[in-house]
Amino acid sequence: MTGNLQCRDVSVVFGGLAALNGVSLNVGAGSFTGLIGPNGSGKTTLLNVVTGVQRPTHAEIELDHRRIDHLTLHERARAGIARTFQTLRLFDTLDVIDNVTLGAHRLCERSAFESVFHTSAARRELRRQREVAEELLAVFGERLLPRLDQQIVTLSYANRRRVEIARALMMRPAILLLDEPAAGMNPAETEELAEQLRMLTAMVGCSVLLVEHKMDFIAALCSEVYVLDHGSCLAHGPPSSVQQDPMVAEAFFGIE
Amino acid sequence: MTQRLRGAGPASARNRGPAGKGLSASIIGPSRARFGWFAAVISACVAGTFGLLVPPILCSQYEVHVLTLVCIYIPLVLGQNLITGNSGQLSMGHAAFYGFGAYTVGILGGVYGWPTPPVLLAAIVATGLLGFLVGLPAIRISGDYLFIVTIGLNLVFIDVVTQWNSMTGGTSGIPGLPIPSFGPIEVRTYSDFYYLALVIALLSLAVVIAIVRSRFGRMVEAVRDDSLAAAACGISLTPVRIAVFVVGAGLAGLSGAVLAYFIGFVGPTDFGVEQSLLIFEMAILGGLGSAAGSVVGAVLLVGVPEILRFLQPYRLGMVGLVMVVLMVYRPQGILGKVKVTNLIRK
Repeated sequence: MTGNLQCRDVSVVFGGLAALNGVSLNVGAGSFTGLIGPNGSGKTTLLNVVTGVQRPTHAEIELDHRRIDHLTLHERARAGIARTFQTLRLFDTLDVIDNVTLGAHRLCERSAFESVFHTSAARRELRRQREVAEELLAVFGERLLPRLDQQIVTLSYANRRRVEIARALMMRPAILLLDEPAAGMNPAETEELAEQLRMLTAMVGCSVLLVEHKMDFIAALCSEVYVLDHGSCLAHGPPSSVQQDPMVAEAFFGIE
Repeated sequence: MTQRLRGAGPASARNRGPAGKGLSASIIGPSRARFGWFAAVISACVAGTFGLLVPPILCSQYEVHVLTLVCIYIPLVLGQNLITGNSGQLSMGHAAFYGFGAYTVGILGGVYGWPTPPVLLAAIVATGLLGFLVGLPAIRISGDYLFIVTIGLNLVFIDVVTQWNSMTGGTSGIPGLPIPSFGPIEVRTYSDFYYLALVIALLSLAVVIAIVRSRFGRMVEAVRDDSLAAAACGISLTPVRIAVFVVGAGLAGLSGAVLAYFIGFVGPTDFGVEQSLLIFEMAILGGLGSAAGSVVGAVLLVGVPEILRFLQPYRLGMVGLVMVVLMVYRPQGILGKVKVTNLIRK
């Protein structure tokens, strides 16, 4: 089982303001780990540090016991870190199947140069990847399968989230970082997504770090939860015990 | 068209599975339909080929001359469109690459007397290399800044060829270029040049379509649409952008080479920033990110001014007006899918 992510002492300082202040976090191989906290507590910043989008002031990050914090964004992706974005980031002029298939970039054995010559090996590889993409999209039932050739702009917000998740899983990552995947989904769709995420990650065999506001969603999926507030880790543990922590309640609701 | 072609791919592939094992009757229906479609494409190609071969026989010498110019502009605009439309890089110095290709012919073909095929190859390779050298630092500069840097490059190019008298002949250029020949075939008459330019334009079109429709083509468009998301998919941005820049420059070099042979002279006046602007306009007008759009852009902006020649004093104004009207009603160009305004903020 792969996908063990260890972050030690992650700090990000903007000017004099500490967005993250010595946060440590551990995602077990093959597990679901949640990351919650009020707006502005540093959740997305932590995801950005792990994926290499944000340069940290200090951090030690290991994926499966291999240091990755010197790697750039695309090198970390190739090392097996996949992510989705809080503000959707899809390739808007491409169609659904191309968006998802591009996620498999790190797995391609045939070079991009070879693909230009449309050799039979390159075409075979692309065809195989499209089949895998369709398999992944099939988990979402009939929501995306009839829309494979449609451009992203024609999709609903929830469907765009699904495409982004499929694209991230297409790279067969060791770990998948999800930034509010259920945002813009109604309660029924959210419940459905929890089930689908469990199926998809089982198909791929990766661990998950999940940033989310919806506590039910976290509780349904995660065995371990970290709570961030003002850039520091407030508590961590199983969802049930974290929910009862008085400090967490104060940070979230401002009550004691 | 591409939409429909791509649409047909996966759907027919999916139908084939169960139908192939099932009733043969269900196969006949779709395959007959596919044959009809195939026949339509073939007959369109045959008709198109005859249409393209005929002009030198039926048209006046002047009209053949204009058509040759259109064909010369096609690889040039294809290159610009690959860089700006598919890759989303606002490059505004394409005439420098065009000129570099022309001067390669002037110097290697004219001064040193190399035969035509190696000169054409050298024009492509040398201009591609120039694209690489310029692209390496310039690509890191994104969007609007690249626009200004490439204008600067164009100005520097013009200055170098004007001042470097011993090599380029300065303002008087290099006259009396040899007649291009490929083995026993000499390209002498207007119709010869038309066929040469036509073949090169069609080859360039085929190359660009092969690039755009490949996995690499998708990567290029992904980097344009969202570079952060592309990097998060493991795509390394700089090599992709530079590769496109090199191919675009190489195509411009090829165009320049054909132009030099066609007019038999190379001088600095044809490769200024106004020329870059014209090439840029062709790509935008035809449609960013569309190979067919590049052809349409070249046809319109070379052809329309000639068609409007009877309006002599107002000709250029009318061309400008056509551009304004098109941009108001179709900001993505005639066949394009990307609006130029989407590229500016990135």
